[in-house]
Amino acid sequence: MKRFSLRYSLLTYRLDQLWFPLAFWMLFVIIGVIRGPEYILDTTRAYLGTVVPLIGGIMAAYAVLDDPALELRFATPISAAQTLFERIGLLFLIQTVSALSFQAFAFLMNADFSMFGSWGGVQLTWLVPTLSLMAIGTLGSLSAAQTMAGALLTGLVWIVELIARGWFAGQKVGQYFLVFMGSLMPDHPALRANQLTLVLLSLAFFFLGWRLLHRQERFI
Amino acid sequence: MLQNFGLDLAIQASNKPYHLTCITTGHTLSLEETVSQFFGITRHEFNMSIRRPGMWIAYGLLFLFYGVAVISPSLTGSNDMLFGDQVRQEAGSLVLTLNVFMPLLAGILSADRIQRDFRSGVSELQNSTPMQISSYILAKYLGVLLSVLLPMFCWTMILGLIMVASGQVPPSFMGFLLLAFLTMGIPAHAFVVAFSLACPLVMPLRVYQVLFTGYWFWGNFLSPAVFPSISDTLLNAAGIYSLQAFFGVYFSSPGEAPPSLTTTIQALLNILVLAACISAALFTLDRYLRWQARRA
Repeated sequence: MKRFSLRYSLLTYRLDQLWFPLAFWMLFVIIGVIRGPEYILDTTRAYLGTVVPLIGGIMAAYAVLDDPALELRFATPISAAQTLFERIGLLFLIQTVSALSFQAFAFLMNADFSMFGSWGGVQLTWLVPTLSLMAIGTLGSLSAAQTMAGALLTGLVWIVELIARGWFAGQKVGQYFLVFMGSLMPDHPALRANQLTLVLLSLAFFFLGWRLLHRQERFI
Repeated sequence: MLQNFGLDLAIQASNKPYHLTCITTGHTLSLEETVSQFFGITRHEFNMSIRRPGMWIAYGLLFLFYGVAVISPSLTGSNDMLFGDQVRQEAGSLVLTLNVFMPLLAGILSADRIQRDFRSGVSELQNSTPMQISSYILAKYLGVLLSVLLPMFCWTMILGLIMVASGQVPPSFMGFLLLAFLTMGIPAHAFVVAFSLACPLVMPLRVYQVLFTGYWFWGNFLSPAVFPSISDTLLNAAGIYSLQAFFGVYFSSPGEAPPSLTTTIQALLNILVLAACISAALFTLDRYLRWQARRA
């Protein structure tokens, strides 16, 4: 199994990573229908900007290390990059499908996304926080060699930034690290710099996670 | 107390004052043995839980955050010492501020404490011993609860002492702080720990952690005016009712109508509702573990 095998990945996939985002998607669709077109934009912002990133972040904390066959996997010539890509990539794909399909639903409910600018701007509202929290979750669990640490870190960052978002947005340095700026403060002057910082930071975190995954003895 | 949790224990009259018979295994334990077992499991769980480096790192990071954000005199807008009702209000506000994040940490950290016994196969060994399931649940609960309350208590008292030492508040502040810890900190932690022990047995741990993190914000701090929420009901576990009723702190934005006053009865009802939820969670956990033991 040297090469990437989608069939193997799907066979060994944890199904809760599939049904759980789907359950949340359906919950928000129901909430969207109940609250009606008047609030569909708020519901969409809440789902895309906060729910999708939280699910992605905590699931990513478990994606690599929560595997009963991890030691067997380490015994095969599968590279660290492939492991990371397979586990995080599938997770990211599910979040992407969830986010895009919810946008389609919101569009059908006459949601007006003009406050986010272009279509690309809408995508950045969920893409940046999701990548950021997934990177934090992955790096947290790999650096502590414990899935719980990654989940804890993700949950803490999520709630601290959500509750203290005004404080972060008003700080000279803090504004670049507010992961929810795209969805909650789309007119903030530092939005593009914030998104660039977070994407670069996420890539750096994934890179560090990849380096840590090379030291397999830490996880056995 | 043990029987109140629906335990299959029969108290038998014999030469000894009491005998507790575990119906699932048939072993008979004296009351002394049961009490000894209970405190043994509590001590062991507390020691295991408290010795996790990750837990102290997480609480340490939060302490740094609070150290900067809470103690800063600029937040109160003045460097003058607080007096009278302000002291009581400040104590309540400080514990509420801690309650925003501390129970979240406690809930996530507690989530694997019983589940790991199943995952590692320890539960099978436990089933073969004369250990009472009820004692096990209550002792685990108490051990985990104490382990997460310890950092909360330490941080609360250290922050209070720093505020007293820096002259922001008089020494009587510490008494109010203790009262706030008892009425707001303990109920919030007791509530989240009960559910964090029970829920991960019926759902994947990561699913519970996502749900719990989302719930803590949605169910306690999100205004129902913004999004449908239970934060303004008696199910609020963050201590808002106690803060308003016992410490006289009300939050309202400029231009908003002042909130209606919360009575002491409402605050006590809030604590009672939380206690009922805790009992229900532990009772369900007890039934579930019994069912698992019968299936094994």
